[in-house]
Amino acid sequence: MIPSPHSEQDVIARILAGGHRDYAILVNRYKDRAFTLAFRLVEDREAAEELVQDAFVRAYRSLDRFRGEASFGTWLYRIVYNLCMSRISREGKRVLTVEISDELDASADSAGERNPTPLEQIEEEELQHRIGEEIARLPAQMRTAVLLFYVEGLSYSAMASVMQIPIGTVKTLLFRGRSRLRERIKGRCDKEVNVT
Amino acid sequence: MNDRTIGHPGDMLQGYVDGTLTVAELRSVADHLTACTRCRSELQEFKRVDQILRQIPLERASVHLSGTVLERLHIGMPHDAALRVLARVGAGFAFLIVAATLIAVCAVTGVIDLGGLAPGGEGAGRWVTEPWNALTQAASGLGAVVARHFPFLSQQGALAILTFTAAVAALLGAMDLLFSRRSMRR
Repeated sequence: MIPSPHSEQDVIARILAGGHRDYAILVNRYKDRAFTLAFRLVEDREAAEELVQDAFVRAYRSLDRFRGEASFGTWLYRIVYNLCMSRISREGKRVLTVEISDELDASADSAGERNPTPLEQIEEEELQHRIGEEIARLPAQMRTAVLLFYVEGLSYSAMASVMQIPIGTVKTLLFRGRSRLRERIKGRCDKEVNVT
Repeated sequence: MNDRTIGHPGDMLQGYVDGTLTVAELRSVADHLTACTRCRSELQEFKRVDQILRQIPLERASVHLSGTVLERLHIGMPHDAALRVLARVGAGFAFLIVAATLIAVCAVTGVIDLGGLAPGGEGAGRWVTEPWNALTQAASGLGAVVARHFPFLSQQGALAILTFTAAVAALLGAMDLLFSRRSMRR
């Protein structure tokens, strides 16, 4: 198979060889995904835009240190994530409010008590909107895990690399994030059913 | 009581949805699901949330983001920045053309209105000798024409508006051309 001239490694090689304008290919390829991550984390469109610009600038300036062990995207998301976390910390927002342990049993315990969900009765669009709201209410690290897994489509090991935490912790954060989302949505649905 | 102690797979259902279980775990969960209605229902819930999360929409970054990044890195002329400069140059020329047209129309209308070059008019076939006079007369003539069509305007008022419009158009044109040259140098 003939490799695409726009394959990531080729593009990076061309940039490092002096084809600086080819960086636009990488920027265009990742800007929306990086922006989504930043926007969902800092919840401010303008700030997210600036953070993503900074991340691309930093990534470019240290491109010669990029070893290609992970994708450029994973590397970039790590920079975006670090910048977002610094900003969140500076602003005094909660970064993480949950104690992480490798035991998942506690989260699973309550799961067995549930009745069949009323989720199916709710319109898909409205549910998506609610999920978006609930994602914004998750602690930042949990939110990041959910976004990296579902929006960026990263593997556990790539997520661990981006967030600089062990894979076990990534799995725990993801599991708890999803459990919370499920519970909150279920809770809201139950309230609405009781009201009507 | 923990789900696992009574045989319910509990959080392994999420692994079942994600496809991260070992073959043995997968077989065990699958066997359990055939016999347990509650876990089947819970599995549907896991799948439903999973499906919704997979549809989280991508947010669109600004179309200028890549141009801004490349500009910050001082890398050549990115495509969209080049288009912006092109648009600015175009606008500059457009404004200058508008200004020139206004002045030309002023001149021609003025001459015709004053009978300077109008066929059969008084003084037909000769240009006004003093260029400044010609311009002044032309502008006055156009002012008169505009004032005739818009009676609420005096000739001086119409003339002032025309002069102002031409001046603004020329200024905007010059500024656009100037800024586009600066952008190209960067």
